Amino acid sequence: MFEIFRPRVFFNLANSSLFWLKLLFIISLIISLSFALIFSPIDYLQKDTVRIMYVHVPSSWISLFIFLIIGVSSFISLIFRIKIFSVYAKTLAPIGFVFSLISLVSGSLWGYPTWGTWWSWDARLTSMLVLVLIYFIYICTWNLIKNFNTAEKITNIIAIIGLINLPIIKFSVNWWNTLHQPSSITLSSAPTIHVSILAPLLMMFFTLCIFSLIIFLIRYKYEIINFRINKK
Amino acid sequence: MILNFLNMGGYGFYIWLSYSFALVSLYSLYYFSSKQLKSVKHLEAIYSSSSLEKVVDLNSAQRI
Amino acid sequence: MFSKSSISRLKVFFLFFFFTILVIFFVYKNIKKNSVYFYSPKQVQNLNNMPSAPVRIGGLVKQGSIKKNNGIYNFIITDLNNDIFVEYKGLLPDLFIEGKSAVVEGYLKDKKSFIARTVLAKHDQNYMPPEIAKMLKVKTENNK
Repeated sequence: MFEIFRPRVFFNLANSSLFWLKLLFIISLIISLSFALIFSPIDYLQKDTVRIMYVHVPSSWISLFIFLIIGVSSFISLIFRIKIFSVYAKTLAPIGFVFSLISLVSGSLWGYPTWGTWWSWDARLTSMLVLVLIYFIYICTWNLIKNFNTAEKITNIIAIIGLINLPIIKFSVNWWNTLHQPSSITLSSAPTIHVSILAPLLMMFFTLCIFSLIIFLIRYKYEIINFRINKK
Repeated sequence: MILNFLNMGGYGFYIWLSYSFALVSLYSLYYFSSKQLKSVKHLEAIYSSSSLEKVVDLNSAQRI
Repeated sequence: MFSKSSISRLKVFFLFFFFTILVIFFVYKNIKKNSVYFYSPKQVQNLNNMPSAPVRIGGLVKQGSIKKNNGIYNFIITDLNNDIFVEYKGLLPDLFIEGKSAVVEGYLKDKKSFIARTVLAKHDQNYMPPEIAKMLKVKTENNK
């Protein structure tokens, strides 16, 4: 049952599939970019600025999703002492950090022409900034503490505490009055995005997921090899 | 035609800046990750998949 | 299936987890009471004393209320029951449209009038191409 968590699994996957994943990524990047920038229609109110959404929304989703995985892995690692989960979390952190940064910057660039401000301290924007800071602290802790076992425990705790922030980000637009608009895509009701705008959004999401997987495999290989070096 | 496309109805600056920020940061993530992996590439041969489990002693899945 | 030490760690974890949830719950309750990003016009009517610090008010921009003279904009922020007259000098964001939501930042003169420093447009979660929007508009007008 736990075979899938052996270090070998992703290591072999990286060796056998990186080339094909990169190929798939390039193809899907070209398709989704051409849809996002050329073929998709403009929004009736926001005009062309809606195209920033194709970068902003998938990046936010991925950064939240990656933090969820980091948090759950850290929990498993802390409680059941399965080191490999700490390696997963360590590997994923820089990817989530970059995506959360992209989400903030593109959101700011979207906010200026539509809302009329680059930044506002409303609940959604503030909690997203907190996520970026947690990612930053998490990565710094891994880099500053050289002993794997100590770093592992501290980062596990940081990640589990950081997990609290996720529902705050998700529901901030419902709990508080925010400048940020509520979610367009929810599990409970039909999306409020027209299909011609939704399609490029989902394509871009798929592309960026493939990209995250590629980076994960590369970094995972490095971490596994590096782990052994540090242990000696 | 091309100018029109670049202009994006007057919002070109914001759109192109956000896309290029995303591209640059994602590419640098890829670049630095590959560079890191390359720096330990010479050690990879030891990690042939059959002996990996013995070498990398971080799997304790059975200990659950 | 689980080792004894795992189970004891799990117990300690849930103890901590329970307490953190409790603490967060109280903090959240407090934050919700004290920090308001913006007031609705109705909440302004219910205020007991006028805040001297800058506040934000959010609501719909009333249809046909935007007027401009000498570079000063006058418009009404409404929640369909309570109106607040807003005065603003400056540039309006592109998405500031009658019938859509906006957030204004500035000082309350009294419960009915407001001097804005900043005007922010708030957009909703609906996205569609212009043709579809036009079709929807025609449809709702036919239904009337």
